[in-house]
Amino acid sequence: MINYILRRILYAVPILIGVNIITFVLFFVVNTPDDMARMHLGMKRVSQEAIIKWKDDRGYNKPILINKEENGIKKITNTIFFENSIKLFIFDFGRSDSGRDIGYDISQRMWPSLAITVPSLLIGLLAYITFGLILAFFRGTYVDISGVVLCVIMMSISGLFYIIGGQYLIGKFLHLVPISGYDTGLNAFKFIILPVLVGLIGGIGASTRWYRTIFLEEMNKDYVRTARAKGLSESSVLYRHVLSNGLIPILTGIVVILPSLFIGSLIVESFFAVPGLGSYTIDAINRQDFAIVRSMVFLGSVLYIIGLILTDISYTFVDPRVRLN
Amino acid sequence: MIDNNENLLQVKNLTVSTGTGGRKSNIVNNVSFCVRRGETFVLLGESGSGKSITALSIMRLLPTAIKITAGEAILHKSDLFQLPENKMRKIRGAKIGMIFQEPQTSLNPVLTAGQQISETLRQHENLSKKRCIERSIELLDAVGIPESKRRINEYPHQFSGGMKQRIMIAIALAGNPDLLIADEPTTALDVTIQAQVLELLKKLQDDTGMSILFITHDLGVASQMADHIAVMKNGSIVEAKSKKELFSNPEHQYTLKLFNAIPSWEKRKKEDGMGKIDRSDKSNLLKVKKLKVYYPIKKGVFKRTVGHVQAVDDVTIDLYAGETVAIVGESGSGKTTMGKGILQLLEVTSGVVTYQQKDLNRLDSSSLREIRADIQIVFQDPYSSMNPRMMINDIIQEGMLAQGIGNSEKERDENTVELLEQVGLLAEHRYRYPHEFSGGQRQRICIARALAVKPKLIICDEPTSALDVSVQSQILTLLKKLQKEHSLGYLFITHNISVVEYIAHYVAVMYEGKIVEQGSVEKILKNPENPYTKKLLSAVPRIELKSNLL
Amino acid sequence: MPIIFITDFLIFLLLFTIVGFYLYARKHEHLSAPWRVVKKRPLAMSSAVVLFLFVTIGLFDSIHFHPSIETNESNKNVYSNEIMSVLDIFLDDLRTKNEKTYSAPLASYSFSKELIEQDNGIQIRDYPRLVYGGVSLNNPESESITDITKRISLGILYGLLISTVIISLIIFVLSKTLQTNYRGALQKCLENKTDTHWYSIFATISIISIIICIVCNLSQNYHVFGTDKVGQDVLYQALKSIRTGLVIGTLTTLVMLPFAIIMGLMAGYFRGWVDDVIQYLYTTLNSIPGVLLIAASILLLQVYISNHADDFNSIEQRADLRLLFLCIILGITSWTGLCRLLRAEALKLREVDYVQAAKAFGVGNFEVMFRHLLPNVMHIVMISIVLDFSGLVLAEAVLSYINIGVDPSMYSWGNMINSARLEMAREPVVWWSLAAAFIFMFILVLAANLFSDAVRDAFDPRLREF
Repeated sequence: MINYILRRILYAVPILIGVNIITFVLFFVVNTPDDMARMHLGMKRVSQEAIIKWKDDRGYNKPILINKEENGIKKITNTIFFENSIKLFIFDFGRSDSGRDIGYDISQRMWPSLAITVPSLLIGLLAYITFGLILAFFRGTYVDISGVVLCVIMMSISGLFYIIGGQYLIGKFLHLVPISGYDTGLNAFKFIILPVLVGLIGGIGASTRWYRTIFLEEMNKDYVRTARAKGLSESSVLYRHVLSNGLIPILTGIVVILPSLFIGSLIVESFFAVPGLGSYTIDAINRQDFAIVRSMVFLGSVLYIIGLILTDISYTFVDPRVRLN
Repeated sequence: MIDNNENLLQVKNLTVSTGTGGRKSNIVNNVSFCVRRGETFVLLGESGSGKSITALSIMRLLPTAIKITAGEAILHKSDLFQLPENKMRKIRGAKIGMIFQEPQTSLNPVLTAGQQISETLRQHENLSKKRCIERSIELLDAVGIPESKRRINEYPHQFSGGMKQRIMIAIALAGNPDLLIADEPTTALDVTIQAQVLELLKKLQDDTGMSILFITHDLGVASQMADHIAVMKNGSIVEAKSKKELFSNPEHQYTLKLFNAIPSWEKRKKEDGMGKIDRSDKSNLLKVKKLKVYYPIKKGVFKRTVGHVQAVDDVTIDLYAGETVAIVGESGSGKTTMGKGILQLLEVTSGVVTYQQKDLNRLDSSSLREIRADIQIVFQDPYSSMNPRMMINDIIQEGMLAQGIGNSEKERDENTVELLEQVGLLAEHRYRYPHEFSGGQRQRICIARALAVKPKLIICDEPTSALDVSVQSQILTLLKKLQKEHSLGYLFITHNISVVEYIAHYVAVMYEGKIVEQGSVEKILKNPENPYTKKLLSAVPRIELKSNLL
Repeated sequence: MPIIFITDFLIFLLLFTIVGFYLYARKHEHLSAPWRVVKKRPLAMSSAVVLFLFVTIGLFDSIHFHPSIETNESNKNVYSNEIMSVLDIFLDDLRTKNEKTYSAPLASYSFSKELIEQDNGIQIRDYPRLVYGGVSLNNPESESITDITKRISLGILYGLLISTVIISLIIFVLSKTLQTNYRGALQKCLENKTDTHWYSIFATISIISIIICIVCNLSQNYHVFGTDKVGQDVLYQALKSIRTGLVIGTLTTLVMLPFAIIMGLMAGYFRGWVDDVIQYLYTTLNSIPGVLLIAASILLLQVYISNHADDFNSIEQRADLRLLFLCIILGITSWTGLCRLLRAEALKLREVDYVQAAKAFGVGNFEVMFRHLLPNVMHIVMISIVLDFSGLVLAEAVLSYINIGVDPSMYSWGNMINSARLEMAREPVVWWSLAAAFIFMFILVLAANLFSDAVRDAFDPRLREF
């Protein structure tokens, strides 16, 4: 097990390097450091000194990839690319282009993201699995057919409709909860109700159908026939046999997205003005703040790779065939 | 009919159909039989005969598209087909137990053996948890699983195929049933394991006095287990007798056809005459010397090789033109791996494979390609051996095109027609797709495909194992005929001893990657020396037929 | 004078490829058999009719030209700088009848108050009459309801008439192909004894004709979905957005398919270092948030455009290039899903007997992949294409919201929602732009989903005997 994790971490390093290279290329092909300085300083006419100072402060005064003026190893190390990337591997995100401490910002902003994504996931799992199980139990009957039709219809409605509609409904008519914004501590609770609800309703269609398919597949397997031959009732069969086997693909599918819960949904956070990591990233892209962007991309990649590793590990917990090999 | 007290289960006029209205078709047609107390009743038939559906009907476990449309099944004076579902559930598992064909998939992979046995116990009896565990251990002991106390907490994948089937039997026995329905329980098991399981069933029957309704297609197994046999074909029972009577005096045409199809020594002698079988007048085609195929086991962070799985271990064997060398072994013996290794379809670790004095391992790719025409292969599973999306014409011609046989399309077409006719099919079949043919027909097409490149040696990897007995005999006859006509050498991989009797000239027995014994077919089958060979031969269920039937 | 946008060219290329594929599939049983199963399902056929309608509108909208204004002295046509499409010819009324600002659906009055000078010279603030909406009415308050009802009933009538004509034509053609008489063909269709489920097709055609005729009739005197901030007819905008949605749904797949298929099959078949490299590629690409890649590429494009401003004659061409870029970049970010599926399938297929048999013949590796692997994974590809379509159409709306979607000057549902959302704080709220965009998107995506369900069931090998 430990060996496995170590090996995966080793594989992760070239991937992270690759991610960094791509991010760099994308960013700096579009903007030279001079352009970035000009944009940030914002004034109509900026003096050359101001630009140079801006670049110096942030370490952008060096060549991007290869420093021809240096010798030996310094050719590579005394560049923007190297200096920026190396720090990332020790999770030192440095300062954003507008001067703030990125690490601090991240540690503050991840809580709002989690406050929305974690409840969405948990409640969603519970709800969708229940619905999927119910539809599978009633397969072929009107309950099933109308359920599936409802799912397809809800899947076909754009997520934006749920967001905008939800905000409109609550904001103009029901006035139950605030429709956007955020607060600290326990006050946050009333701000997350609507985003979580909207997320749940938006995801019902696709997830319920997917889980229903998984359960139906399991029901066609041989061991279910054996269970019936033992004289078990249909609901026992569903609960003890189908559910426990169906959970394997479901849970392992969930685990892969667990780490990305930290980043949150870019869209939901924008619409509901939640100061999470998702809106952090979007704002940075819009403002072309490279320091934040490269940090968030790196963080995102690390979390994605952790997600992949967690998925493999979760198989060993959930599936005894993998565990006891 | 005999005195009713002796009858445990009476099935009368059972009809099972599928489809509605005009498209209704009967899978089981007016079937009637009785199973007496304490006896084993065998339903014998080939695939599509309706025997499994009959068994499932009694348990009322049919798939939704298939329904019982007529008949009764009387157990303990009540008709099972009239019971409401909740009463039927009390019968399932308690009065009637059932075991299925595929032990690999019939157990829930995420529950332990103990949990699955206890489930039956808790469903039908009110036992305390402690008593459940005790009873489960007793049952595992009864079915012959060693270290039952420990193994009760293990998962299905930690047991071998034979042991999984024993667990299935334990589950079925947990409710103390009066009747055990066994649907082809040993078909997926090796011959030696099969012998053990059949013995176990007989012992349990003696101990508990339960009846067994045994479904099988294997005449040998039927002969070993049955008290009474009913032969089924196309949904109807064509003949039903006691075992003794059936085997000494079969009357129905179909039964006779079945008996005639069984490959055996006697049948071979009758067809080929009493000539001696030796290799002195044949030329050598293939020499395999110390062939090894090892798979590395890698562990650790850097995946260092810590050991090897010895799939094929130091195998030496020769093959001559016009003769059949049979490689006999059970699953995991390495026989298929050896076949693929000879063909260079997988990487060989060491050893020399010489074909007509050329070392196949050392050839460069274009020379190897030329030789490929000479050595061909026919696979076991007729359903996956042809690309379902290609027409037969293209399938047969693929080899010709790759090997440059036939200079024009017209010539290739003519060849294709000739090949199809050689294997007993029609010219127009070449514009059809594989799924339009039966299993036996598909194997014929595969043989035609192999012949298309005019090989000298064909590796037959269990070509008839997936086919019904009657179809099997047709394919074997075809193979023999082609061998005579084209002087082909066959490397015939099989686990079926009767087929070996019928077709082989030379036999090699494989066990765990090694050839434990080889020699002429007469020597091996009549005077085996190696203990494994002896064990293998004794495990084969024999049919006591009167010789005048052949 | 015609002008060809890159996306137009690609759309028609795609169309010809599909037609070619259809002709190819007719000769090959394993390809046409599943489609025949699809043709039997009523919901799938209804969806197909709806999709056909959308595709036709999109295709008409993909033939662009400069309209001629006049002929000058030397008898040569002078062309305006404006670019129109064939669809615009049909929708000329909707396009040109612009109001000043917002107006509600079927309204005769503008939505916001203005300073009006009355006949007696006094200026009051009131809702002005619209220029085109309700123009034939003298007294909108009392007359509009009757007028609307009249137009709707007339629309229903026309719709029934037109659908009867179309259906009769179809039955006539059917009777010729089925070699029965007219009555026989009609009977067969009604009783569902034909190969295709014509009954549902006819029902859908009738409903659609009725709706189209009603809308046509109403739009002669009203703005059916109202007007937006600059007075443009919302229905026109929604119809023009169809092409954008279709382009994104289809061209993206066109870009993505070759990568996914080649990489996926190679990774699964060759294994070893080829597999490692391809896995590295798609893991790396997958780790980067798609949003970032799209944003960066759009920015890249904008830099390119501003540097090469002379190459582009019009806003429309610039917007078109941005649309193309968006499709390309969406394709690059989405090939990994299909690639992974195909890799898994190729890993299984390389061990299957018929592949081994081909290798035993000495057939080369690429031939094996093309002849044996590719046809047997087409079902996964087919399912993936139809499944992704609806996802992409929905994604466009979201991307436009965060300003990295299509050019704001291009008609798209995302842009409609975006601009409408900014105005939602108004009192009373302007809801019709949102409604139109959502309704059209919903219909297209629902039809695509229902159709893709049928395709998935038909092509899933476990549900068939193939």
